[in-house]
Amino acid sequence: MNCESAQQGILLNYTGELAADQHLELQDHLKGCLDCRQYESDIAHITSLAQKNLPTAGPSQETVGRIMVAGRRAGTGRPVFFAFPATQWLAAAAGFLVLVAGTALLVMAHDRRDAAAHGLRMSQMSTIMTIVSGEEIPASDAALLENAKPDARTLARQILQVEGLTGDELADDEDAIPDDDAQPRDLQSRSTFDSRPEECV
Amino acid sequence: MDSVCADEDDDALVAMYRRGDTGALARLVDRYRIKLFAFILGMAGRTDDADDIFQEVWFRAIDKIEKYKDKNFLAWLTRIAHNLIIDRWRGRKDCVSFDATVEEGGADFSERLAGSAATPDQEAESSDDMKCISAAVAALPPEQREVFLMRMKEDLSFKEIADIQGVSISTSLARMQYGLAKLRSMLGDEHGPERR
Repeated sequence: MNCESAQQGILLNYTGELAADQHLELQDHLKGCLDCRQYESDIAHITSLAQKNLPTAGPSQETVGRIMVAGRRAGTGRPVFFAFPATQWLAAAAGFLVLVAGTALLVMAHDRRDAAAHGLRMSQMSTIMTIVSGEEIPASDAALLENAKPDARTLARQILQVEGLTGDELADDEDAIPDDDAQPRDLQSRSTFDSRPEECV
Repeated sequence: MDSVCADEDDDALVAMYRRGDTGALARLVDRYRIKLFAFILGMAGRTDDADDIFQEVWFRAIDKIEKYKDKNFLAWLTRIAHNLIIDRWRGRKDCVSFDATVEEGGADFSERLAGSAATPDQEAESSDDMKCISAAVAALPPEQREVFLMRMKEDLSFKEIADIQGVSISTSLARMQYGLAKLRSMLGDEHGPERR
């Protein structure tokens, strides 16, 4: 090891970057080299002098305050993806899936209710058509009609209007549609509804 | 200050801050404010310039915290500071080369240090040794001064210094050697060690 390598070794030794075999070589060199020992002594002195006497003032409190404000702003603006650790991220994903599944179930249930309501109206309409055509109404349909009288009356009124009648006969008569379906109605003539007050008690 | 929250390493604090814990950022700033500021002040020369650069270093660090992958947080901050200092010198009309020496018209740190805004306490603390070493360090060419300050004030390894300066370890070692040789010469017998 020459003096130049030894002096570099002295610097590297301070930082712990000198390999073990080079360290041994350096020690051997220093034993026999006065200049390098002096160099090592000078470096130690300058290092001590610099570490003790170079300015050690910190930044102003205002500067540190501005840094912290910026840090807080950046922290609040950081995407959630980065803010959550893996476990919290998985929990959030699971929660999202539950939310989506729940929404889907609600939509499906709503559709089913719509379909049921649609089916009921179709049945009521069919019953009204039966009444209008003078055919006998099955007992089950009569019960269906009974449960939805306002709708049935509306439909009946619309049908009558289409056929040139006013439908006023049905306006305020809660019992316009007979409860008793045992007897076949005479719906051959359009005056059937006119005679309904006598038929229905 | 270095012992504050010594049980939490830098990576843990960075991870905490990434999760939104601004207290972790406060601890990182506090941990490195003296070392980093001393390096920046040694390079910039003026307290107000050093304050600006120190602040900008942290703004950039906060902005790029997601990209931090280095093993040494202080070395990462110092690399940001190194780049900012060079940008600043390049941006000045009266700028001089980063490599220029005092003799070549380089920045005279000692003159600027004398003009810097020191508090009464700081003035009281200043001793002949402090003035002498400060002036001697300020007289070094910037690239040598930078290596010297990174070693003395920030305790960075030569590998880290070489990475920051974008040179080989041999070059950073050579710069340190040249700088130390000049300091030995400038400090002379009055502040030098006793000769054997």
